[in-house]
Amino acid sequence: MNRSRQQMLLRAACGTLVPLLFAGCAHLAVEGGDKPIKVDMTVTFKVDEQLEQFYAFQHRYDAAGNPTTNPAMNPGATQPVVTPATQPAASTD
Amino acid sequence: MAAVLGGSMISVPAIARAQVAPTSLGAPDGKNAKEKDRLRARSEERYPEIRRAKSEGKIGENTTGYLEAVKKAYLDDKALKELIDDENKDRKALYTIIADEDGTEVTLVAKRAAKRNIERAKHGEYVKQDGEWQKK
Repeated sequence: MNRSRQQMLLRAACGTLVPLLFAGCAHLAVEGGDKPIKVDMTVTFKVDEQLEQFYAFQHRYDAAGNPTTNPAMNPGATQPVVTPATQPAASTD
Repeated sequence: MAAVLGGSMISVPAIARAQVAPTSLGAPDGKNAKEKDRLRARSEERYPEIRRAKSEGKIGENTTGYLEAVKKAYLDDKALKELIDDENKDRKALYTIIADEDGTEVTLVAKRAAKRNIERAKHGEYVKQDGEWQKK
């Protein structure tokens, strides 16, 4: 009598727990179904775009002909022509 | 009637999700925009000094998205140290805002910035690659 009761309880427990176990696994599998590569690429693109927007002033500064490099380091760079109005004329004495 | 009510009850959460999604991804809000403007103004003001220090070979860009003195001895110049510290502090704040807006990590933003800065470095300036300073 006791044995059959134990068996019944065991069967009932298995009947409840096993489906729950499988349901849990199935749920985990569904949650992990994202597309990380696509998301990463989109985020990288957005980050690059935001950085470019933020630092747009650098392009303007450099394009305005400001001296951006040491002439000694960059002999190919064009130098701004300095023509001060008060520059003394060269003496020929 | 019941069908209409049922339909609207089902569609409400979907609309709510659609409205929430952009903010959860960090759409720029007013606070972030103002903070970015403040950071941009400061960065723009410092930019000529940074360009000069770079052209003199005193500072360079590293691979983590920040400025660094090429030689430790250069940090004895307090103005230069302050320039580096201020710029890096603001960069970190900027990277944090962008990371928040795009729903990503600050380190990823910093790495993208490093890539950009190293690519934009001028001929003769120093960039730190593989832990060593190299002239571009």
